[in-house]
Amino acid sequence: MIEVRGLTKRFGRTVAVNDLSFDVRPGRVTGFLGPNGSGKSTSMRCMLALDRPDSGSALFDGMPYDTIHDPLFEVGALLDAGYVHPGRSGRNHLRTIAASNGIRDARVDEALALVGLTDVAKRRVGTYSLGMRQRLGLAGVLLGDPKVIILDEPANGLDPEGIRWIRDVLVHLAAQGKTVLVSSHLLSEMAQMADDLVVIGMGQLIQTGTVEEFVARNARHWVRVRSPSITTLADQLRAGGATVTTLDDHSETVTSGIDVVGATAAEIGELAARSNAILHELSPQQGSLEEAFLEATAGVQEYRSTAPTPGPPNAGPPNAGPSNIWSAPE
Amino acid sequence: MMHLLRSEWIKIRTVRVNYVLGIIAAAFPVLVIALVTALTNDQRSAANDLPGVVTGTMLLTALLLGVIGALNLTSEYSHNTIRTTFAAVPQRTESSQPRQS
Repeated sequence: MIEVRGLTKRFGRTVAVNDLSFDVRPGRVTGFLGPNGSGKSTSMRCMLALDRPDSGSALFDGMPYDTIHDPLFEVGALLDAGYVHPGRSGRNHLRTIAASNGIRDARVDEALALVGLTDVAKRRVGTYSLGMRQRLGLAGVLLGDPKVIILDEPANGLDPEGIRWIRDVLVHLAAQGKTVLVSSHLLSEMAQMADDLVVIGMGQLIQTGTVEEFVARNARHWVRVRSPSITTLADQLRAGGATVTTLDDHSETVTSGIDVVGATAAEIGELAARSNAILHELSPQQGSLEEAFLEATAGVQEYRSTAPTPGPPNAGPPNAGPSNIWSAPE
Repeated sequence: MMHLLRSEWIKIRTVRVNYVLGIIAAAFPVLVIALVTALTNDQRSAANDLPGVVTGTMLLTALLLGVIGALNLTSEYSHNTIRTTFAAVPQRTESSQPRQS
């Protein structure tokens, strides 16, 4: 259990983290999301007492990090897999960390085996690929078999196989009852491994909740309808106040269709039955986590290109976006 | 405190440059004294010079050991391992106390 309360960190005039509060629950993978420069890494450094916050605190089972003795047994953290001396072997790198908390070398070898680095353990880290360094970093996190695991961008530089591996490891650790907080900007990966989300932008909390809640709240919802008599249906739906977008993907095998915002699938189905229209498709659609994320953080992107972001197909007005994204949910 | 010292000792022993510097530091006085002994014929003046030779060479040894220390600390910052070090032991002065949990 991690409790972050009112965490604030300023660098000169810049407020990097502003009154950030959230909980990370045990037994679940919690994704820590935010655009670049939104304060994710700063928050994590403050939580681990590597930076001194101007105010606020982060408690691990009720204790601030810097009061925990031999913290590797309580909290395993990997902020950057590049934090290694390239001249040291992977095994010796872990031994330096382990020794500082009184962890024996046998456990170092166990951790190396857990991440599959036994064969290269004696090679200098400078010869490791980025993926191997990420694995080495994770071995360092697992050294003390901690209750809380904090990872900053662990999927960075991993190939698809490696990304799947780290996802499986984190889900497995959460299933053991551990508290897992992981930041990432790979949203599709996050959608597959996270149970809960903490979304921040420009140092402030935007939303917390489960992934499902977050997507349901922020992504667009629409209903896709395909029918041989689609024009009639479209006219009736427009007359009923719904927004209708015509799809131009019909072919020999695909009936022409429309995307409808502002009417439920049930309503459309009943309408079709009343007007004796044959339906070939009637499917409620929902935007992705990526779309929900972009929608939720639209006002708080620190660095943004001026080119228009390509929206989802047949972009219509979102019908589920919160009017004020700064109002964090209870 | 023993854990901290052990960790730092492993750090020093596991980087190659420290080995090279350490060997030079240890070998230099021995080498110079051996040379002086071998090349001097006058036993009495050699005996008089010995303290100077020993302290002179030991000065270089001390400098090299200092270099090893400085290299280890600065490399922690240049490779950012200092973050890992501080994350592993947040209280640098109280770490001799037993673990509470």
